[in-house]
Amino acid sequence: MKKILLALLTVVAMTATSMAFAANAPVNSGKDECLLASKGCKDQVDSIQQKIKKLNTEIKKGKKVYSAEDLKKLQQKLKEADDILNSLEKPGR
Amino acid sequence: MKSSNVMAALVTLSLAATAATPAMALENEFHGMFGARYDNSNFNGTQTTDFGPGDGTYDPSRKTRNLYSANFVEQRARLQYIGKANADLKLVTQFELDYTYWGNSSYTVGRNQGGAVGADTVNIETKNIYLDANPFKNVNMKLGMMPNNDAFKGVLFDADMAGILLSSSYGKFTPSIGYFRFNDTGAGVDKVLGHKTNDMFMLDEKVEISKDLRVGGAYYFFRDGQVTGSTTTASVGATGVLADGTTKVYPLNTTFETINTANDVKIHALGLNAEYVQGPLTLNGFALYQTGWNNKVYTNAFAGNVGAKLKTGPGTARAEFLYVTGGKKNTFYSVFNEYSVGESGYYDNEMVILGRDKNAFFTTDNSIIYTAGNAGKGQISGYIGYDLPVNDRLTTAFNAGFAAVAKDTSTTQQHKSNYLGTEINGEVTYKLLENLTTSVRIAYVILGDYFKGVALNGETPVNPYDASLIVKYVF
Repeated sequence: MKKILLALLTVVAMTATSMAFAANAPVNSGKDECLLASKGCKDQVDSIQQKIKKLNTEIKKGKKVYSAEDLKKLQQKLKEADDILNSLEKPGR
Repeated sequence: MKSSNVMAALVTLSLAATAATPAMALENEFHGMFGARYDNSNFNGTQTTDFGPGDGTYDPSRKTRNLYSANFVEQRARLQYIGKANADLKLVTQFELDYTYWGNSSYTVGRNQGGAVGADTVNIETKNIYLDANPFKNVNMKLGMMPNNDAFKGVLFDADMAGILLSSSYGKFTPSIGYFRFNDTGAGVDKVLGHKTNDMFMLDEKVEISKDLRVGGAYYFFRDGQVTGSTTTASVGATGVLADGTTKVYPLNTTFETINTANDVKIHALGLNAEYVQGPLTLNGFALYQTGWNNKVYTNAFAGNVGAKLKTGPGTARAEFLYVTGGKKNTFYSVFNEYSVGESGYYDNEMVILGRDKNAFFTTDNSIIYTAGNAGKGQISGYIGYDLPVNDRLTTAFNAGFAAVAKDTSTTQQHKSNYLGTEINGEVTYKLLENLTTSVRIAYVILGDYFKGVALNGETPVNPYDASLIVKYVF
């Protein structure tokens, strides 16, 4: 009984973590938008422009949503994102 | 279920979760850029720049007045990977793959090569590998080969360099301290590292006086003792020359002595900068003083700048002014003064030909004034511009620049005037897709009398122009 329980729990635990990786974004129409249009893929990440846009949006929410320390962190992340963009576009040989 | 069984089950769950967690904790960030540009120019890709003695700086002397226009396409890609363990620890890497021009070579090994049919060239460049960590509260450490630029709009340095940079933030104060090693030539000289080097030590401080006013101060110490070459002398004279016409023949028992030639630079650079924002107006500028020994010449140099941006009408008007001293004892030191390794750049002037091209994210990188010190001649230059966005997809920019040397130090050629020229340029950028832009840019320079009669047979070179079509994808 103990062995079966352990095995079952292990399988459940592993499956639960795997599930988070396996599923693409919710598919309303039944179509796999990731295959079809490269949208909502499980491993999709923000481009640097999207990241900057999101950070600016969050910073604009101001102290109504974020504490002063949170805002400082967001400003720092915005500076890092700007630095990345500058580094990619930096002129020179 | 017995308590031991419950414990065993919990332990199993914990282990499974723990095994899965580290893989999820690492944040992988990929970014990149691809750019391709078609260029039609009597400036870039000609013998007055890329294939001339200046290697980057415009030199029309002793060339025919008219030159064929160059037509070429160049491309560059940059790939960046950031491995982030958490908000306080990440590894940053960046690589570059580029072709100086389509058709240059294939089946070879070398940076910027491989643009000819067949490709198959080893040409990946590593630009950055550094650790970015916050080891203590309010302390950031960058360690490794990192991009680093000065607090003076790049007139001193703007380059990838290996070193350590510690930055902090205490309320309104942001101090930084750093040490960088530019070169170490010991291995090839006396097999000892660490004393034939070219290093920089830096201190930087920024203070937010108020919401509208920020001031800063910085000190840089440049110590360059790297070996740059050697000369060999024989105890007796040569008795003949081999059939190749160059290799000399010496008598038996001749002794040879090799003496290394090394740089001897000890330059202190100290400056102040400020930025003031008042409604639609932004004012900024700096004053930078240098003193010290530059290869047996004691120099005192100065650079001063004022810049302004004003949101007016549908766009933003810009203005810049830069003065840099010239002359043997007033030569401004940059990293470095030589064109081919000009790891500095003043780009706020938005020039294409007169100054370094801000949009030159390609290998081709030429200009009339290449470094702030302008090869010891200094500069007096002013620039105006206007950025005019038309809609979400279409933006335009127009610029004009006026530049002269501060002191004509030329000993080989007489110049009629110190005035280098006037540039006008315009750029139209259209966003084709999200992250993909295409732009057309045209620049034209009316040469000043500095270049009057310097071409072959005393003729004056034709005015340089550059027309580009650029496609750029950044993600």
